[in-house]
Amino acid sequence: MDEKQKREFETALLPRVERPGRYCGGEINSVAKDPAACDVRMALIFPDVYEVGMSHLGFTLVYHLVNGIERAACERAFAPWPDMEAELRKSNMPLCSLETGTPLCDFDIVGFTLAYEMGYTNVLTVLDLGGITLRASDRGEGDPLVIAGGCCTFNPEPVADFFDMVALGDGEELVPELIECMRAMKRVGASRADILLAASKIKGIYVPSLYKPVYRDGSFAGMETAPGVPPVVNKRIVEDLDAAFYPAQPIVPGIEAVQDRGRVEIFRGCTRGCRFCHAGMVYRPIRERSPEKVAALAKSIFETTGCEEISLLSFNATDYAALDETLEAIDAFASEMRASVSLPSTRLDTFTSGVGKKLRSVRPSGLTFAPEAGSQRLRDVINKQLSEEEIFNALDAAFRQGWTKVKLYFMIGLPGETDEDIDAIAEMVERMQRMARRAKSKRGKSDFTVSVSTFVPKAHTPFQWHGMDGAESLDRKQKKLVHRLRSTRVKLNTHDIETSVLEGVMSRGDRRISRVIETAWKLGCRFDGWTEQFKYDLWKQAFAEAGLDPDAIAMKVFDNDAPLPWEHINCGVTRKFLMLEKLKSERAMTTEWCENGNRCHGCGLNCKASMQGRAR
Amino acid sequence: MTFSRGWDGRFLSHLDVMRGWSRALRRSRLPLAYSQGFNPKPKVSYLTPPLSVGMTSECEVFETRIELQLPADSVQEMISAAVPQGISLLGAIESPQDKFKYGIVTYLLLLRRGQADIEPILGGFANELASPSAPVSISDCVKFNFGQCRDGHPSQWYDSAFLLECVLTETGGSVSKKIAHELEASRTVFHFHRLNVK
Repeated sequence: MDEKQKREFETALLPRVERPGRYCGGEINSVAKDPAACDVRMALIFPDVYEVGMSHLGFTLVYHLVNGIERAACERAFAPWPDMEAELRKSNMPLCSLETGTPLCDFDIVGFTLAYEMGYTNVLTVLDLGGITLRASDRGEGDPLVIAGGCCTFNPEPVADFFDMVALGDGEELVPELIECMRAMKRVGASRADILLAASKIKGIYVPSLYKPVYRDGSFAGMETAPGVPPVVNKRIVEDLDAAFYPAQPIVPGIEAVQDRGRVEIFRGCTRGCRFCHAGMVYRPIRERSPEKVAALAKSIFETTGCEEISLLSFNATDYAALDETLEAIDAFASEMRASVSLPSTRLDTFTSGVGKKLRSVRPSGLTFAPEAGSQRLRDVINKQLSEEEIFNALDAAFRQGWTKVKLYFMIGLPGETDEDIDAIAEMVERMQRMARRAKSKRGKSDFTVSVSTFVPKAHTPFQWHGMDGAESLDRKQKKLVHRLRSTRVKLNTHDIETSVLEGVMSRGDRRISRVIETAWKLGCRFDGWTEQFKYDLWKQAFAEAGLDPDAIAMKVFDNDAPLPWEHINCGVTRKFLMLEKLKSERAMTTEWCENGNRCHGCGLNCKASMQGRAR
Repeated sequence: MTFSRGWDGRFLSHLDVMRGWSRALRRSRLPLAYSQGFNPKPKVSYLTPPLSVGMTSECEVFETRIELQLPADSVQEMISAAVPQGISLLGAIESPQDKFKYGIVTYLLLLRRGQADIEPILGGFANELASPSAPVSISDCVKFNFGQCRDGHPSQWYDSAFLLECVLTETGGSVSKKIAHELEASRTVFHFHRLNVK
C-alpha cells in the first residue's frame, strides 16, 4: 500500500466496517520482519474471519514456524467480511498482509489453511483481492506460488485448479523444506516450472498440474501422470513431537478470538477407529508429546501470553498415557498464576475415572458426550464403541458430581439407518432426562442441548464409498426427531441440510467441482459456512451451468472397485483396510480399538513397528 | 495507572482493553490480588468512562491491587514491560484513599474536511458541551499522544482540529458518541482523541 492508499484505508475504510480490529494486526507476540532483510516471504491465509482463523492451531503453528527461520517472513491475512470486500473493491485497493501492509501478490508463497470445505469461495475472494490470478494454470513468472495445507487437502481435487501446490500431512518439517527450496530456487533465478518441479520432490508436496484426471461416461476414471511423476503422493508424518516445532510464544489476539485461550497439543492422531471419522483416519498414527515437554510449553505460554486458561488438545484426552502426571505438573505453576487447564476432548469415561479431580486448576469443560447414534446396532455399524451401560453409568456419575449442563452429539443419515434408529436417539435423551431428574442436583434443573448433525461421507474413511442420505430423507428424519422431542425441555440443534449437501459434494467431489466453485463465487457466494451468508440458490445455478447435479454427486455410491478421485493422495491408511472396515460395517461387526498397535488390525501405518523402533 | 490507547489500538473495544490488561498484568508477574471464584481475575477497576471503538486517548485510568507493598516506580517498570497491544503506560501512583470522580472530559476532534461541516453539528449539542469548540492548529496536534502509525503521525492525515469539553453524565461520554454518529452520517472523515479527564 502506498501512503495515499494507507491514509484512505486507515481513516476512511476501517472506520466504516464492522469489527475493524480484524484488519489491524500488531498483536502481542506477532512478528513483523523487515521485508528487505528476508529472502523468502510467505503470506499465510485463513479463508475465514480473523476471530475464526486465530483460533486454529495449525494456522498459528505455521506462522511462528516460518518466522523462526532466519531471513524468512510469514505474514497473515484473512478473508475480508463482505462489508470490507465491498470497501476494498470500491476504493480499488488490494488485500494486504496485517504485518507490513504488503499486497498478497508481492509475496513469494501464498499459503492457505483449508480447515473446512465451506471456506472454498473465500479462497477465491482472497486471491482476487490480493491481485492473484484465480487459476494456477493462468499464473505466470513473478506470481506467487499458491499452496494449500490443512485437513481438507486429503481430497484436494475440488479446489485443485486454484493451487500450484498442496502440502499433505504434518507441516513442521515440510514447510521449512519448502521455504529452503524456494530460497535456493530464487537465488538461481529459476523459472516457475522449475520451482514447481523441485518442490514436487519434497515428500508430502502434491502438484495438481502434473496430474490430469480422466473421465469416462461422466465419471472419474483415473489420473494420468507425466513420466517421472509419482502416481501416489504420500502425506508427511512427523515422528517425534518433542523434537518438532511448537509455538511456545503464540500471538495474543487483540479482539476476542472464538477460542480465546492458550493451547498445547498433547498428542496427534486417534486409533479408536470410528468409521465415519475423517480425522481419525488421516491423522494416524498416534504420536505423543512427553509430559515434560507439555508442561514446559504450558509454562511458556502462560508466561508469554498471560492467558488465564490452557486447553490440552488431542482427540480423547484420556487416551494420553501420562495425563494425571501432566496435569499435576501444570497445576504446580498454574495454580500460583490463578490459571486453569481444560480438557476439551474427553470421552465419557473421564467422569468415572476421575481424572484430575484432586487438582484445583483442572476444569472439565462441561459434559459433552457424543454417542453419535441412538441404537446399539447403529453404533456398531459406525464402530463407535460405547455401550448403553457405559453411557448411562458415566452420566449417572456426572449427575452425582453435580453436573447439570449436558451437550449431546448425534448424527443422522448414517449408512444403514432406519426410523427405529431415529426413535432410539429420542429414547436415549428421554432416559437421560429421567436420570437427571432422579439425581435431583442441588444446582437446579438440568439443561440438555442435543446437536444433531448430518452425516457426510468423507474421503479416506471406510464410508468413502457410501452415498450421502438424500435431502428429502434427511429433512423427514430431522422433522421426526423434532416431533419426538417436542414435549421435552431439550434444546435441539440441527444442521442446515443444503449446507450438508454442499459439504458432501466438496468432500468426495472431483476436479470438475473447481469450475462450480468459481462460478458460484462469481455469482456472489461468500462465507458459505455462515448460515446468514449461505446462498444455496446461487450454488444451484452454478451447478446447473456446469451441467452437474449436487444431489447426485453427494449421494453417489462408488463401486467397490471404482477409481476414487482422491486415491493418488495417500494418508497412510490402506484401501484394503478401509474396504474391510466397510464390509464389516455392513454386517454391524465392530473392530476393537487397536490400542495403538497392541492389537494391530493392519490399517497401514505400522505404528507398533515404528514405536518399537523409537524405543530401542 | 494512567495509560494511553494509541493509533494502533483504536479499534479495540473497552472489553478488548479490559481483557488485554488482565493478561498484561499476569504477564508482568506482579503479586496481584485476584478475585475469588472459578475464574480468578486480577482486581482491576476502570475510573475513566469506557472509550468508544475508533477513539484514541492519553488519559485512561485504572486501579489495581497488589498483595505486597511496592514502590510505584517499580510497579510501573514491571507493567511497562508487559503492556497490551496498542497501549502505553503513562504513569503509576499509589491510589489515594478517596475515590476519583470525573466530571468533564476533553476531546480533540480531527477532521478531514473544513470547519464548515462541523459547526452546525456541534451547535446541536450546545447543552451537553461544557465549552464549545476551540480550534487547534493541526501542527499542534503532533504534540498529543496518539502513538505512531507505520508512516508517521496520524494527525498529518487530517486538515483541521477542535477541542471539545463534554460534561460527563450518568451515561458516560455519550456526547462524543452522538457527535461521532452525526459526523458518520455526513460521511465526514474524522477522529476523536480523548485528551484529559477532570
